[in-house]
Amino acid sequence: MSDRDAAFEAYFAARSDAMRGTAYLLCGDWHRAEDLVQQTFTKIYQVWRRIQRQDAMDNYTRQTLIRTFLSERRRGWFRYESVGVPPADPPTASAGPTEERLMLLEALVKVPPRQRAVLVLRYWEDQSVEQTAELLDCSTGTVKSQASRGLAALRGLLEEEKVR
Amino acid sequence: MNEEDLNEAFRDVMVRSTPPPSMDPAHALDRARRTRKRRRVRWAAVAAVPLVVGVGAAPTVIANYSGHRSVGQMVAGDTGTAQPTTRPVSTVTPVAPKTRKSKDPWPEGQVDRTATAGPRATRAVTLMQDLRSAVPTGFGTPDLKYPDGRRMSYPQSQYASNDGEQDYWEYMATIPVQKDDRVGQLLVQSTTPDGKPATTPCKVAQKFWGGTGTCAVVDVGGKKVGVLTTKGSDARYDQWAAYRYDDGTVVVLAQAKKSDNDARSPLKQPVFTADQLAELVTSPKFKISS
Repeated sequence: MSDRDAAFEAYFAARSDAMRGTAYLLCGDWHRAEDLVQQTFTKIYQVWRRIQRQDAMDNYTRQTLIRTFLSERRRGWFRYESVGVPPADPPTASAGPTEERLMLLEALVKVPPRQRAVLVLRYWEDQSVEQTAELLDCSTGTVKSQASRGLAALRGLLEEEKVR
Repeated sequence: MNEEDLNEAFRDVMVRSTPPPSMDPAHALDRARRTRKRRRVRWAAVAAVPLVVGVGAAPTVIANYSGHRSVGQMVAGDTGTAQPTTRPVSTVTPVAPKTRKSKDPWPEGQVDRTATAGPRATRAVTLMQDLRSAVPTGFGTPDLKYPDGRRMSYPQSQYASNDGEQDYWEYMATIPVQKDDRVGQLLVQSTTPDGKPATTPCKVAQKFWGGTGTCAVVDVGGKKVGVLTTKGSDARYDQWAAYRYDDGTVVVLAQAKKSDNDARSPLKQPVFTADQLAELVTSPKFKISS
């Protein structure tokens, strides 16, 4: 195995789980999350020489993951697919922790993709407004407005779920 | 639900989720390699078309694309400890391979590709100083640091050849360039002759970090320089010039309005025009041939 391949394998082993967690929140489904991670790392492998430092590599990987997700959404690959296996009974307001988790995931995947990406980057990945803007290639003002709209949408969706 | 609630909710989702087993790195590598190979073959096929028509040498070209190269000392450590239910943080420590693929020792007593001391390391430091001295009036080259305390300026010299190739070295220097409170980045890289045949200026430029974009050949007093301007925000550098000397030494000079330091605002204008970049890359001070 070449140095490049060994380094790639090591990097994948170390970082793919964390990236898959982020992908899971974006997609709401572990299988799709894995597909997204595989696509991301395949792209990373193509440009391995360009990525020299670990922090830059993590950032580049994160950016590639987000852009791959948004790009796929634009192409409509996921458009008509439901997310994961729906629960047999809709979660209710008095549901337990597992149902609440499903409720959040169900609501999250209904939030528009770009707003969802902002929410995941800001509140799961703990990226700053500036870093999120860089990752999404937009202005900080856009990040703030998307985060605000995303939160409002999520809030509304969760209220709807509780009423059902 | 406010921001804090969502933060907690995300954490709760991940804690309570039952993720499938970790993905297999070997499988991921295999898929990545197959994708890379497919792309290379596709490009080789495109390149082979005129050859088939004109020379009839396409099979040789395609055959030459079938292998894969090992490159770089850019390696990541294998902690194997990242869990999907933990917060994503950068915890990986770079670890260098201890031997080459051929099991031969690294040259000149090194423990990996990088020369951290000795004359080769000194050459990279000199290269960095020469790069600083080339920055035009109006820009500064302060000793800036990343938020974690590391210097943004860094020199590097590394043994660049792969198994089966003749020995050659890469000397590289990166510096931040400041104007007002905005910071961009310059990089210079000089590669000693690698024994490979000469090629066009644009191919030389495109070889640098697999660069894609538009390339123009600029004539600098009879020297042909490839100047590549990248297309999008994925590239770490906006533009670079590449020049191959007759002895095979290749120098690349790259500029980016945005530095690697996300905490710094990018420059409003590039440090050099394309012509200036092309002229500077031919400067003998950046040429390191051994």
